[in-house]
Amino acid sequence: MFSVETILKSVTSLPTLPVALTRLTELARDDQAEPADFVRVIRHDAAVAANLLRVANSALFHVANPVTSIEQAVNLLGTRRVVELATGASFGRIIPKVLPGYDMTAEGYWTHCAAVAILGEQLASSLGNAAPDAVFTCGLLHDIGKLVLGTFLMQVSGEIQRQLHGATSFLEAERLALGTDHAEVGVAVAARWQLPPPVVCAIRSHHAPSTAESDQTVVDLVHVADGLAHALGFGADRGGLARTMDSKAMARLGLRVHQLEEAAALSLDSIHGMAEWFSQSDGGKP
Amino acid sequence: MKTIAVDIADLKVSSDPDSALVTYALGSCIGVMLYEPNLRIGGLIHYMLPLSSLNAEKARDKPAMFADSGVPLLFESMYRLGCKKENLVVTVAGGGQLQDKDGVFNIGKRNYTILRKLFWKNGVMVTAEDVGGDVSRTVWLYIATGRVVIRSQGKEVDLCSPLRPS
Repeated sequence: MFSVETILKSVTSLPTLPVALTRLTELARDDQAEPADFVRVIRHDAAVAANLLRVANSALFHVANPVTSIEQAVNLLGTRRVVELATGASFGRIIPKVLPGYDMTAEGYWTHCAAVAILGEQLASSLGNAAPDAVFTCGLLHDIGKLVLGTFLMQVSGEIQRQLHGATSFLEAERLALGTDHAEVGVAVAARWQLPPPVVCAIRSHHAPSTAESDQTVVDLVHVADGLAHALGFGADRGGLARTMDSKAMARLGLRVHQLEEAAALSLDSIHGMAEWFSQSDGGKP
Repeated sequence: MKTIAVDIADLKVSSDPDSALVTYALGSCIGVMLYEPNLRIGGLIHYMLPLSSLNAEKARDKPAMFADSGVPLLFESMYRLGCKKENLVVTVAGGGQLQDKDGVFNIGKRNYTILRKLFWKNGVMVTAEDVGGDVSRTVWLYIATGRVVIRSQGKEVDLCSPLRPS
Protein backbone atom coordinates (compact mmCIF):
# COMPACT_ATOMS: atom_id res chain seq x y z
CA MET A 1 0.00 0.00 0.00
CA PHE A 2 1.31 3.41 -0.92
CA SER A 3 0.94 6.28 1.49
CA VAL A 4 -1.06 9.25 0.28
CA GLU A 5 2.07 11.37 0.88
CA THR A 6 4.10 9.17 -1.48
CA ILE A 7 1.49 9.58 -4.18
CA LEU A 8 1.10 13.32 -3.71
CA LYS A 9 4.87 13.75 -3.66
CA SER A 10 5.15 11.99 -7.02
CA VAL A 11 3.19 14.80 -8.60
CA THR A 12 5.59 16.45 -11.01
CA SER A 13 5.27 18.36 -14.22
CA LEU A 14 2.91 16.68 -16.65
CA PRO A 15 3.98 15.27 -20.00
CA THR A 16 2.99 17.14 -23.11
CA LEU A 17 2.67 16.61 -26.83
CA PRO A 18 5.56 17.54 -29.10
CA VAL A 19 3.37 18.15 -32.18
CA ALA A 20 1.81 21.18 -30.54
CA LEU A 21 5.35 22.36 -29.95
CA THR A 22 6.31 21.85 -33.60
CA ARG A 23 3.23 23.72 -34.71
CA LEU A 24 3.91 26.55 -32.26
CA THR A 25 7.50 26.80 -33.45
CA GLU A 26 6.27 27.06 -37.05
CA LEU A 27 3.83 29.78 -36.05
CA ALA A 28 6.57 31.70 -34.27
CA ARG A 29 8.51 31.81 -37.55
CA ASP A 30 5.45 32.89 -39.54
CA ASP A 31 5.16 36.67 -39.76
CA GLN A 32 1.51 36.35 -40.75
CA ALA A 33 0.60 34.37 -37.62
CA GLU A 34 -1.85 36.00 -35.23
CA PRO A 35 -2.14 35.39 -31.48
CA ALA A 36 -5.42 33.62 -32.32
CA ASP A 37 -3.44 31.01 -34.32
CA PHE A 38 -1.39 30.21 -31.20
CA VAL A 39 -4.53 30.00 -29.13
CA ARG A 40 -5.98 27.46 -31.56
CA VAL A 41 -2.95 25.17 -31.23
CA ILE A 42 -2.69 25.52 -27.45
CA ARG A 43 -6.38 24.75 -26.98
CA HIS A 44 -5.59 21.26 -28.30
CA ASP A 45 -2.92 20.55 -25.72
CA ALA A 46 -3.84 20.14 -22.07
CA ALA A 47 -0.28 20.18 -20.73
CA VAL A 48 0.83 23.24 -22.70
CA ALA A 49 -2.37 25.05 -21.71
CA ALA A 50 -1.76 24.20 -18.06
CA ASN A 51 1.86 25.33 -18.16
CA LEU A 52 0.90 28.55 -19.87
CA LEU A 53 -1.70 29.40 -17.24
CA ARG A 54 0.71 28.43 -14.46
CA VAL A 55 3.36 30.86 -15.68
CA ALA A 56 0.88 33.61 -16.51
CA ASN A 57 -0.33 33.45 -12.92
CA SER A 58 3.14 33.09 -11.37
CA ALA A 59 4.99 35.80 -9.46
CA LEU A 60 6.82 36.60 -12.71
CA PHE A 61 3.82 38.59 -13.88
CA HIS A 62 2.11 40.91 -11.48
CA VAL A 63 -1.42 40.47 -12.76
CA ALA A 64 -4.26 42.01 -10.80
CA ASN A 65 -6.76 39.28 -11.68
CA PRO A 66 -6.01 35.60 -12.24
CA VAL A 67 -5.50 34.70 -15.89
CA THR A 68 -8.09 32.03 -16.68
CA SER A 69 -8.21 31.88 -20.47
CA ILE A 70 -5.63 30.83 -23.03
CA GLU A 71 -6.28 34.03 -25.01
CA GLN A 72 -5.38 36.14 -21.98
CA ALA A 73 -2.27 34.07 -21.32
CA VAL A 74 -1.01 34.31 -24.94
CA ASN A 75 -1.58 38.07 -25.01
CA LEU A 76 0.17 38.49 -21.68
CA LEU A 77 3.14 36.24 -22.36
CA GLY A 78 3.78 37.02 -26.01
CA THR A 79 4.40 34.45 -28.71
CA ARG A 80 8.10 33.94 -27.98
CA ARG A 81 7.57 33.00 -24.38
CA VAL A 82 4.64 30.80 -25.35
CA VAL A 83 6.99 28.76 -27.53
CA GLU A 84 9.62 28.62 -24.77
CA LEU A 85 7.05 27.37 -22.33
CA ALA A 86 5.82 24.75 -24.75
CA THR A 87 9.42 23.60 -25.22
CA GLY A 88 9.97 23.32 -21.49
CA ALA A 89 6.70 21.53 -20.96
CA SER A 90 7.30 18.97 -23.66
CA PHE A 91 10.90 18.19 -22.83
CA GLY A 92 11.10 14.42 -22.84
CA ARG A 93 7.55 14.05 -21.68
CA ILE A 94 4.46 12.75 -23.43
CA ILE A 95 1.23 11.11 -22.35
CA PRO A 96 1.94 7.39 -21.87
CA LYS A 97 0.62 5.10 -24.61
CA VAL A 98 -1.62 3.38 -22.10
CA LEU A 99 -2.80 4.88 -18.85
CA PRO A 100 -1.89 2.10 -16.46
CA GLY A 101 -4.63 1.20 -14.00
CA TYR A 102 -7.41 2.71 -16.09
CA ASP A 103 -7.48 0.32 -19.09
CA MET A 104 -7.40 3.42 -21.22
CA THR A 105 -5.28 4.37 -24.19
CA ALA A 106 -3.71 7.78 -24.59
CA GLU A 107 -6.25 8.41 -27.37
CA GLY A 108 -9.11 7.42 -25.07
CA TYR A 109 -7.88 9.74 -22.33
CA TRP A 110 -7.37 12.58 -24.75
CA THR A 111 -10.75 12.13 -26.45
CA HIS A 112 -12.50 12.16 -23.09
CA CYS A 113 -10.76 15.38 -21.98
CA ALA A 114 -11.48 17.01 -25.36
CA ALA A 115 -15.14 15.92 -25.20
CA VAL A 116 -15.60 17.40 -21.70
CA ALA A 117 -13.94 20.66 -22.80
CA ILE A 118 -16.07 20.99 -25.96
CA LEU A 119 -19.36 19.84 -24.41
CA GLY A 120 -18.78 22.13 -21.40
CA GLU A 121 -18.14 25.09 -23.65
CA GLN A 122 -21.21 24.26 -25.75
CA LEU A 123 -23.41 23.97 -22.65
CA ALA A 124 -21.99 27.26 -21.34
CA SER A 125 -22.84 29.04 -24.59
CA SER A 126 -26.37 27.64 -24.52
CA LEU A 127 -26.72 29.28 -21.08
CA GLY A 128 -25.29 32.56 -22.30
CA ASN A 129 -22.41 32.18 -19.86
CA ALA A 130 -19.90 35.01 -20.27
CA ALA A 131 -16.69 32.99 -19.86
CA PRO A 132 -16.91 29.80 -21.92
CA ASP A 133 -13.14 29.64 -22.41
CA ALA A 134 -12.51 28.95 -18.71
CA VAL A 135 -14.93 26.03 -19.07
CA PHE A 136 -12.93 24.69 -22.01
CA THR A 137 -9.68 24.81 -20.03
CA CYS A 138 -11.28 23.28 -16.93
CA GLY A 139 -12.75 20.48 -19.03
CA LEU A 140 -9.44 19.76 -20.73
CA LEU A 141 -7.62 19.51 -17.38
CA HIS A 142 -10.29 18.02 -15.08
CA ASP A 143 -8.83 14.47 -15.09
CA ILE A 144 -5.18 15.48 -14.89
CA GLY A 145 -4.83 13.52 -11.63
CA LYS A 146 -5.32 10.27 -13.57
CA LEU A 147 -1.98 10.72 -15.31
CA VAL A 148 -0.27 10.49 -11.92
CA LEU A 149 -2.56 8.05 -10.12
CA GLY A 150 -2.64 5.39 -12.84
CA THR A 151 0.94 4.29 -12.17
CA PHE A 152 0.08 3.58 -8.53
CA LEU A 153 -3.25 1.99 -9.33
CA MET A 154 -1.48 -0.52 -11.56
CA GLN A 155 0.75 -1.67 -8.71
CA VAL A 156 -1.92 -2.49 -6.12
CA SER A 157 -2.41 -6.12 -5.12
CA GLY A 158 -4.75 -8.60 -6.79
CA GLU A 159 -7.06 -8.48 -3.80
CA ILE A 160 -7.55 -4.76 -4.12
CA GLN A 161 -8.04 -5.20 -7.87
CA ARG A 162 -10.95 -7.54 -7.07
CA GLN A 163 -12.39 -5.00 -4.61
CA LEU A 164 -12.28 -2.42 -7.39
CA HIS A 165 -14.78 -4.39 -9.43
CA GLY A 166 -17.27 -4.34 -6.54
CA ALA A 167 -16.93 -0.62 -5.83
CA THR A 168 -19.92 1.58 -6.62
CA SER A 169 -17.88 4.15 -8.49
CA PHE A 170 -14.39 4.38 -9.87
CA LEU A 171 -13.59 7.30 -7.57
CA GLU A 172 -14.54 5.13 -4.59
CA ALA A 173 -12.44 2.31 -6.00
CA GLU A 174 -9.42 4.62 -6.17
CA ARG A 175 -9.93 5.59 -2.52
CA LEU A 176 -10.29 1.93 -1.50
CA ALA A 177 -7.10 0.98 -3.27
CA LEU A 178 -4.90 3.99 -2.58
CA GLY A 179 -6.51 6.17 0.09
CA THR A 180 -6.82 9.03 -2.39
CA ASP A 181 -8.50 9.69 -5.73
CA HIS A 182 -7.74 11.39 -9.05
CA ALA A 183 -9.57 14.56 -7.99
CA GLU A 184 -7.36 15.00 -4.91
CA VAL A 185 -4.19 14.15 -6.83
CA GLY A 186 -5.29 16.50 -9.62
CA VAL A 187 -5.56 19.31 -7.06
CA ALA A 188 -1.99 18.55 -5.98
CA VAL A 189 -0.87 18.89 -9.61
CA ALA A 190 -2.85 22.11 -9.95
CA ALA A 191 -1.39 23.51 -6.72
CA ARG A 192 2.14 22.73 -7.82
CA TRP A 193 1.50 24.44 -11.12
CA GLN A 194 -0.30 27.38 -9.53
CA LEU A 195 -3.28 26.93 -11.83
CA PRO A 196 -6.01 29.56 -11.45
CA PRO A 197 -8.87 28.94 -8.95
CA PRO A 198 -11.61 27.93 -11.44
CA VAL A 199 -9.39 25.14 -12.81
CA VAL A 200 -8.45 23.95 -9.30
CA CYS A 201 -12.12 23.95 -8.25
CA ALA A 202 -13.19 22.05 -11.36
CA ILE A 203 -10.50 19.41 -10.77
CA ARG A 204 -11.35 19.04 -7.07
CA SER A 205 -15.14 18.99 -7.35
CA HIS A 206 -15.98 17.59 -10.78
CA HIS A 207 -17.42 14.43 -9.18
CA ALA A 208 -19.17 16.28 -6.30
CA PRO A 209 -20.06 19.73 -7.64
CA SER A 210 -22.22 20.70 -4.64
CA THR A 211 -19.05 20.74 -2.49
CA ALA A 212 -17.37 23.42 -4.65
CA GLU A 213 -15.99 26.30 -2.59
CA SER A 214 -16.19 28.79 -5.46
CA ASP A 215 -16.71 29.01 -9.23
CA GLN A 216 -19.94 27.03 -8.90
CA THR A 217 -21.10 27.53 -12.50
CA VAL A 218 -17.86 26.31 -14.04
CA VAL A 219 -17.72 23.30 -11.68
CA ASP A 220 -21.35 22.41 -12.47
CA LEU A 221 -20.70 22.67 -16.21
CA VAL A 222 -17.65 20.39 -16.00
CA HIS A 223 -19.61 17.87 -13.89
CA VAL A 224 -22.48 17.78 -16.39
CA ALA A 225 -20.16 17.71 -19.42
CA ASP A 226 -18.16 14.87 -17.83
CA GLY A 227 -21.31 12.81 -17.35
CA LEU A 228 -22.53 13.61 -20.85
CA ALA A 229 -19.17 12.63 -22.36
CA HIS A 230 -19.28 9.24 -20.62
CA ALA A 231 -22.92 8.72 -21.61
CA LEU A 232 -22.02 9.39 -25.24
CA GLY A 233 -19.15 6.89 -25.08
CA PHE A 234 -16.28 9.37 -25.36
CA GLY A 235 -13.28 7.95 -23.59
CA ALA A 236 -15.13 5.31 -21.61
CA ASP A 237 -12.77 3.80 -19.03
CA ARG A 238 -13.24 0.83 -16.71
CA GLY A 239 -15.85 2.82 -14.77
CA GLY A 240 -18.31 2.85 -17.72
CA LEU A 241 -21.50 4.70 -16.84
CA ALA A 242 -21.16 3.83 -13.12
CA ARG A 243 -20.87 7.42 -12.00
CA THR A 244 -23.27 9.32 -9.79
CA MET A 245 -24.70 12.49 -11.24
CA ASP A 246 -25.61 15.40 -8.96
CA SER A 247 -29.00 16.62 -10.15
CA LYS A 248 -28.49 19.82 -8.15
CA ALA A 249 -25.86 20.82 -10.71
CA MET A 250 -28.44 20.61 -13.51
CA ALA A 251 -30.93 22.55 -11.37
CA ARG A 252 -28.42 25.29 -10.53
CA LEU A 253 -27.54 25.67 -14.20
CA GLY A 254 -31.22 25.56 -15.17
CA LEU A 255 -30.41 22.99 -17.87
CA ARG A 256 -33.03 20.74 -19.44
CA VAL A 257 -32.44 17.44 -21.15
CA HIS A 258 -33.04 18.93 -24.63
CA GLN A 259 -30.14 21.33 -24.00
CA LEU A 260 -27.88 18.37 -23.20
CA GLU A 261 -29.02 16.73 -26.43
CA GLU A 262 -28.46 19.90 -28.45
CA ALA A 263 -24.95 20.33 -27.00
CA ALA A 264 -24.20 16.71 -27.92
CA ALA A 265 -25.43 17.20 -31.49
CA LEU A 266 -23.47 20.44 -31.97
CA SER A 267 -20.24 19.13 -30.37
CA LEU A 268 -19.79 15.86 -32.24
CA ASP A 269 -17.78 17.21 -35.19
CA SER A 270 -15.45 19.26 -32.95
CA ILE A 271 -14.79 16.27 -30.69
CA HIS A 272 -13.96 14.10 -33.70
CA GLY A 273 -11.70 16.88 -34.98
CA MET A 274 -9.72 17.07 -31.76
CA ALA A 275 -9.49 13.26 -31.50
CA GLU A 276 -8.21 13.08 -35.07
CA TRP A 277 -5.69 15.81 -34.41
CA PHE A 278 -4.29 13.76 -31.54
CA SER A 279 -4.09 10.46 -33.43
CA GLN A 280 -2.28 12.23 -36.29
CA SER A 281 0.14 13.77 -33.84
CA ASP A 282 2.82 11.92 -31.93
CA GLY A 283 0.62 11.97 -28.85
CA GLY A 284 0.71 8.81 -26.81
CA LYS A 285 3.55 7.23 -28.75
CA PRO A 286 6.24 5.72 -26.52
CA MET B 1 -12.16 -11.46 -40.82
CA LYS B 2 -12.62 -7.84 -41.76
CA THR B 3 -14.13 -5.60 -39.07
CA ILE B 4 -16.07 -2.60 -40.31
CA ALA B 5 -16.37 0.01 -37.55
CA VAL B 6 -19.58 2.00 -37.31
CA ASP B 7 -18.90 5.34 -35.67
CA ILE B 8 -21.28 7.28 -33.42
CA ALA B 9 -24.06 8.89 -35.50
CA ASP B 10 -23.34 6.58 -38.43
CA LEU B 11 -24.81 3.47 -40.09
CA LYS B 12 -23.33 0.79 -42.34
CA VAL B 13 -24.50 -2.29 -44.19
CA SER B 14 -22.41 -5.22 -45.38
CA SER B 15 -22.94 -8.28 -47.55
CA ASP B 16 -19.34 -9.51 -47.25
CA PRO B 17 -19.52 -12.87 -45.42
CA ASP B 18 -15.95 -12.40 -44.26
CA SER B 19 -16.80 -9.23 -42.36
CA ALA B 20 -18.27 -8.12 -39.06
CA LEU B 21 -19.88 -4.78 -38.31
CA VAL B 22 -18.69 -3.43 -34.95
CA THR B 23 -19.61 -0.40 -32.89
CA TYR B 24 -17.79 0.65 -29.73
CA ALA B 25 -18.81 2.19 -26.41
CA LEU B 26 -22.59 2.40 -26.63
CA GLY B 27 -23.51 4.32 -23.49
CA SER B 28 -26.81 6.14 -23.69
CA CYS B 29 -26.61 5.72 -27.48
CA ILE B 30 -28.39 2.78 -29.09
CA GLY B 31 -27.24 0.25 -31.66
CA VAL B 32 -29.86 -1.38 -33.88
CA MET B 33 -28.70 -4.46 -35.78
CA LEU B 34 -30.62 -5.85 -38.78
CA TYR B 35 -29.86 -9.18 -40.44
CA GLU B 36 -31.35 -10.89 -43.48
CA PRO B 37 -30.53 -14.61 -43.04
CA ASN B 38 -31.51 -15.66 -46.61
CA LEU B 39 -29.27 -13.08 -48.29
CA ARG B 40 -26.71 -12.87 -45.45
CA ILE B 41 -26.77 -9.10 -45.36
CA GLY B 42 -26.39 -7.12 -42.15
CA GLY B 43 -26.80 -3.50 -41.14
CA LEU B 44 -25.97 -1.54 -38.00
CA ILE B 45 -26.76 1.99 -36.81
CA HIS B 46 -25.22 3.73 -33.77
CA TYR B 47 -27.59 6.63 -33.10
CA MET B 48 -27.02 9.20 -30.42
CA LEU B 49 -30.27 11.09 -29.82
CA PRO B 50 -34.00 10.45 -30.10
CA LEU B 51 -35.52 13.18 -32.31
CA SER B 52 -34.26 14.94 -35.45
CA SER B 53 -36.48 17.95 -34.68
CA LEU B 54 -33.71 18.98 -32.23
CA ASN B 55 -31.58 20.34 -35.07
CA ALA B 56 -32.77 20.24 -38.69
CA GLU B 57 -29.34 21.00 -40.11
CA LYS B 58 -27.65 18.13 -38.24
CA ALA B 59 -30.51 15.81 -39.23
CA ARG B 60 -29.90 16.62 -42.91
CA ASP B 61 -26.13 16.38 -42.55
CA LYS B 62 -26.00 13.25 -40.36
CA PRO B 63 -29.40 11.51 -40.34
CA ALA B 64 -27.92 8.55 -38.41
CA MET B 65 -27.45 10.86 -35.41
CA PHE B 66 -31.16 10.55 -34.55
CA ALA B 67 -33.49 7.57 -34.05
CA ASP B 68 -36.39 8.96 -36.09
CA SER B 69 -34.27 9.86 -39.13
CA GLY B 70 -31.57 7.15 -38.86
CA VAL B 71 -33.48 3.95 -38.13
CA PRO B 72 -35.83 4.30 -41.17
CA LEU B 73 -32.72 4.99 -43.28
CA LEU B 74 -31.12 1.76 -42.03
CA PHE B 75 -34.22 -0.24 -43.06
CA GLU B 76 -34.28 1.50 -46.48
CA SER B 77 -30.58 0.72 -46.98
CA MET B 78 -31.36 -2.96 -46.38
CA TYR B 79 -34.40 -2.92 -48.71
CA ARG B 80 -32.28 -1.39 -51.47
CA LEU B 81 -30.08 -4.51 -51.32
CA GLY B 82 -33.16 -6.69 -51.79
CA CYS B 83 -33.88 -7.53 -48.14
CA LYS B 84 -37.49 -8.22 -47.16
CA LYS B 85 -38.87 -6.64 -44.00
CA GLU B 86 -40.52 -9.88 -42.86
CA ASN B 87 -37.19 -11.72 -42.96
CA LEU B 88 -35.20 -9.20 -40.95
CA VAL B 89 -33.85 -10.30 -37.57
CA VAL B 90 -33.82 -7.18 -35.38
CA THR B 91 -31.67 -6.78 -32.27
CA VAL B 92 -31.12 -3.75 -30.04
CA ALA B 93 -28.33 -2.80 -27.59
CA GLY B 94 -27.37 0.24 -25.50
CA GLY B 95 -29.59 2.93 -24.00
CA GLY B 96 -27.64 2.92 -20.73
CA GLN B 97 -28.08 5.45 -17.94
CA LEU B 98 -25.74 7.28 -15.62
CA GLN B 99 -26.50 6.84 -11.90
CA ASP B 100 -28.94 9.68 -11.57
CA LYS B 101 -31.76 9.25 -9.06
CA ASP B 102 -33.76 12.22 -10.33
CA GLY B 103 -33.67 11.04 -13.93
CA VAL B 104 -32.52 14.33 -15.44
CA PHE B 105 -29.87 12.54 -17.49
CA ASN B 106 -32.34 10.27 -19.22
CA ILE B 107 -31.08 10.40 -22.80
CA GLY B 108 -30.68 6.60 -22.84
CA LYS B 109 -34.29 6.06 -21.81
CA ARG B 110 -35.53 8.65 -24.31
CA ASN B 111 -33.50 6.95 -27.03
CA TYR B 112 -35.15 3.62 -26.21
CA THR B 113 -38.70 4.97 -25.88
CA ILE B 114 -38.66 6.58 -29.31
CA LEU B 115 -37.29 3.38 -30.87
CA ARG B 116 -40.10 1.26 -29.38
CA LYS B 117 -42.62 3.78 -30.71
CA LEU B 118 -41.09 3.64 -34.19
CA PHE B 119 -41.10 -0.17 -34.17
CA TRP B 120 -44.65 -0.35 -32.85
CA LYS B 121 -45.96 2.05 -35.51
CA ASN B 122 -44.24 0.08 -38.26
CA GLY B 123 -44.92 -3.43 -36.97
CA VAL B 124 -41.27 -4.34 -36.37
CA MET B 125 -40.61 -7.21 -33.95
CA VAL B 126 -37.42 -7.25 -31.87
CA THR B 127 -35.81 -10.70 -31.58
CA ALA B 128 -33.45 -9.87 -28.70
CA GLU B 129 -32.21 -6.84 -26.84
CA ASP B 130 -29.72 -5.82 -24.16
CA VAL B 131 -30.62 -2.31 -22.99
CA GLY B 132 -30.45 -0.02 -19.96
CA GLY B 133 -28.30 -0.27 -16.85
CA ASP B 134 -25.21 1.76 -16.03
CA VAL B 135 -22.94 -0.09 -18.45
CA SER B 136 -21.17 0.62 -21.70
CA ARG B 137 -21.49 -1.93 -24.52
CA THR B 138 -19.59 -2.88 -27.66
CA VAL B 139 -21.46 -4.86 -30.34
CA TRP B 140 -20.38 -7.14 -33.18
CA LEU B 141 -22.66 -8.36 -35.99
CA TYR B 142 -21.09 -11.22 -37.97
CA ILE B 143 -22.30 -11.14 -41.57
CA ALA B 144 -21.76 -14.86 -42.31
CA THR B 145 -24.11 -16.02 -39.53
CA GLY B 146 -25.97 -12.97 -38.19
CA ARG B 147 -24.51 -13.69 -34.78
CA VAL B 148 -24.66 -10.65 -32.48
CA VAL B 149 -22.10 -10.48 -29.66
CA ILE B 150 -22.18 -7.90 -26.85
CA ARG B 151 -19.08 -7.10 -24.84
CA SER B 152 -19.65 -5.26 -21.59
CA GLN B 153 -17.61 -5.02 -18.39
CA GLY B 154 -15.05 -7.49 -19.69
CA LYS B 155 -17.63 -10.20 -20.53
CA GLU B 156 -18.86 -11.33 -23.94
CA VAL B 157 -22.41 -12.59 -24.42
CA ASP B 158 -24.21 -13.85 -27.55
CA LEU B 159 -27.39 -11.85 -28.03
CA CYS B 160 -28.57 -13.77 -31.07
CA SER B 161 -27.31 -16.40 -33.55
CA PRO B 162 -29.78 -16.87 -36.43
CA LEU B 163 -27.58 -19.19 -38.55
CA ARG B 164 -25.12 -21.98 -37.84
CA PRO B 165 -21.60 -21.35 -39.12
CA SER B 166 -21.26 -23.06 -42.51
